[in-house]
Parts: sequence; structure tokens; C-alpha cells
Amino acid sequence: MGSVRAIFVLYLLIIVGGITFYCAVGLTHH
Amino acid sequence: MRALWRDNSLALVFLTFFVAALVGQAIAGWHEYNNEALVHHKASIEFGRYLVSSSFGNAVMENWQSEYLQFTLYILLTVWFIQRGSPESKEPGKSGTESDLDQRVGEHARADSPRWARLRGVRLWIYSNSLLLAMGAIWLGSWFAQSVTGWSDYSADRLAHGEPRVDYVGYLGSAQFWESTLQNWQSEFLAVGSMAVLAVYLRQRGSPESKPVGAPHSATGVEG
Repeated sequence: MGSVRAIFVLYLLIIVGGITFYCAVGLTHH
Repeated sequence: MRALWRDNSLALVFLTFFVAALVGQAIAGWHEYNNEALVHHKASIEFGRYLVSSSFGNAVMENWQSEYLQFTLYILLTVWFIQRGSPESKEPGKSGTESDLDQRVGEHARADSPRWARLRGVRLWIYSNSLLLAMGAIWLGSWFAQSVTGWSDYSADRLAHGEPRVDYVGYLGSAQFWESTLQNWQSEFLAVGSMAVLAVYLRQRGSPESKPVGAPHSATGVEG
């Protein structure tokens, strides 16, 4: 189950990272 | 490495498709952005600058939010709504959040149940709805990201045309925001609804998304 947990965390990091990054881009670029 | 692939091939294949499609979108989007800049006699931008632009962020977030809305609604609505004959639906008469016994929570939890399934109160409620809460939060987060990148992009466009700025709330009421939102939603709703209905009569041998090939059309909630 160790690798399953790692994949779970990887997916969450991509999603949360993507959303946070583009929120910051949108809020700082105007 | 073998165990990693054996246990996670579905997640890894989708992750690979995601990265490849995102890179493709970025390259094509960058070319399109610079083509537009050329037409409007503006300077072209570097690829790295495009990746951190509101234009690219908006295009990515617009699609993310609609996909997560789709899954959020599917998780939520299938608690109560039924499609007779669909492997995606519960059987008629089973709608609702079901008993603690059916859901193996509280005193009905088993030795291998997740720890929070054995608890009571707020933590059990959170864990009982955690998939919906996570998908819903991702939907709202990406929709918010779509709105602020769209606002930024829209403002830059108006500035370039010598038009007055709009504030964030003004952008939320704009035709552009709602067109880009709803054009994604309509396709998700149709795709999900048709998946639920087509799987009543049609089959894919070997897929857990389908009923077994020999299952009767009337069988509901049976996965292959």
C-alpha cells in the first residue's frame, strides 16, 4: 500500500499545486 | 518498480496522458497566443512566460473545474437518484445515505475498517463525506482560479483596446465568464447522463464500469 499512498499524495499535490499557482497568477497579474 | 506498476497502472497511465496532453496544450496555446499577438501588432512572448500567463492558466482551470463538478455531482446525486438497470446506480428503493450497518460505521465497523469509520460525531461525518468534500473543494478552487485568471486576461484585453477596467464582481457577471463556464458544464452533464443510460443496455467485457456481458438489462448496480 506504500506506493498507492505515494500516488494518492502525488495526485493531490498536482491538483492543489495547480490551483494554488493559477489563483496566484490571476490575482497578481492585473 | 514492478509492484509500483502492478498496483497503480491505472493512475500512472492517466498521469502520463495528463502530462502529455497538458504539454501539447501548452505548446499549441503558446503558438496561438503569439499568432494573435502578431495580428494585433504586439510583441510575442517566450514559452516560459506563456506557462505562467493568465491566458494559459485560464484555459487549464476552465476544464479542471468542469471535470471536478461532474464527479462532485455524480458522487452526490447517486446517493439519492436512481437509474434502473445502470451499473452506476444503486437499486431502486436503496436511495439515501443507508444504515450504519450497511455502511459499516460506528459499532458496525470491522477490524480492517478505516480508523475514522469507527468513531462518532464530527470526525465520522467528515470521513463519511470526505470524497465529496475533496472533489467539491477541488471544483470550487479550480472554478475560482478560472475566474481570477479570466478576470486578469479580460482586464488586459480591455486595457489594450482602451476600454475601462472591470472589477472582479463585474467579471463574474460577464458573458465571457459564463460562456466559458457553461460550455464545459453542458458537455459534462450530457456525458455523465449518457454513461449512466448507455450502460443499461450496452457492455464492455472486462470493465468494472460495465455490467458483466451476460447480466440482464434490468440488473441495477451490478459491476463486472
